[in-house]
Amino acid sequence: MNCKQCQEQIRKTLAAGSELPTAEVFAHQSSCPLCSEFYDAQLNLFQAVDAGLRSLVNHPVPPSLLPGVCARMDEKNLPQRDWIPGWGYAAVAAAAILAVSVVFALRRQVSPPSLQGNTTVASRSVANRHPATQPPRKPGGVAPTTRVKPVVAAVSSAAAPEVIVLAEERQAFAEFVAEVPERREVALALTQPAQAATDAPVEIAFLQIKEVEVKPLEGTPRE
Amino acid sequence: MQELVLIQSGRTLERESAREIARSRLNHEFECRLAECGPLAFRIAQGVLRNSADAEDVAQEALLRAFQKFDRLQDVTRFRAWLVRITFRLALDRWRSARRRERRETEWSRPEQRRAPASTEEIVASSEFQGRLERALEGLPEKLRLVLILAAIQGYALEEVADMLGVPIGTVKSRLFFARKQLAEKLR
Repeated sequence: MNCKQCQEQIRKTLAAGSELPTAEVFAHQSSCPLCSEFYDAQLNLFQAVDAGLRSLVNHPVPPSLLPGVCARMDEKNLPQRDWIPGWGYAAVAAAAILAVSVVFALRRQVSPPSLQGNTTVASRSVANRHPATQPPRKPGGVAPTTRVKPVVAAVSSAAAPEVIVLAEERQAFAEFVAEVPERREVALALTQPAQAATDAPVEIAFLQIKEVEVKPLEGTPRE
Repeated sequence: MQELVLIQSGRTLERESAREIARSRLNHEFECRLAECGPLAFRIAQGVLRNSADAEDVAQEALLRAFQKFDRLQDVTRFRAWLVRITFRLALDRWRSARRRERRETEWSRPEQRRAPASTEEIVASSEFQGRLERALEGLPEKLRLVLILAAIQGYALEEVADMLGVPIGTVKSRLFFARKQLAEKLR
């Protein structure tokens, strides 16, 4: 056994909780002062570790530990939620959902006026015969951002008809409105409501077939 | 109708009283175990946290949790093992959060502003070797750490430690061997 093996064996023995080395280790140790020294150092180290662990763990138990637990146990034993019956939670949840939905509904009702600031006047009534006001465009400039959503035109009076125009079609519509006075029939057609196409009721009758007259084919050879 | 109502209320009362009796029996059974297992819980927490106040708090919390779920414990003889696990988990959680907090405070405060050890007990405990030992203990895997703590608690043989952990005694011995070996290597 060499010194390295001996020292490894010493470490294993002490780590296993035994202080007595094996006969082989003991024989080597008695003839090797280095290993003997190593053994003493390791023994001291393990003893210090054990003592340190014991002092760390075996602290005196504070006298307030068990009374504290008992007091907390008593607190937990008290009936604390008797004032809320079992269905109470469901009722509270339902009320909360209802309240939230009412708030949302109210907000939806309130939101259209708030959008009015964003809407622009796309056109005016046709009866006014004025072209729709457009924000001035810079020549050669970039076109304003188009909106996908149709914009409800602001109504100048209650009697004037409303026209819904897409933002990107506003310019074309303005030009069309400017031409309307020259084309009278178009203007009249615009003011008239479209005629509803009505289908004639379907008549159902039995199929009538005249009596069929059966005749033998002429020119066929008879057997 | 009246008779029916009377019978129902009687049954309810009977059920209530039966429940009350069962609860009081359970409480009594728990309190019997409390005297034995309370110190064990405290010592496990102390082994992890190294602070009496925190260890007491964690032990109380663990005992309270055990009490709340005591009726669900199928095998009452396994109570001690169950409590050991609860306490160790809670203590580890507390230790980790304390370490995080400490790290944050260290980052934000200058070294001279750090708190000095308060009592003689703490000064003794924070001696150089003890400090190194505690750091080495923190670096061990949880399984090895728990075995070391349980084996160091006075009054418990290795068979009892094995029983607490629900593992064979051979496993306890092997874990103890590796734990001590690793500790010695770290402290060398």
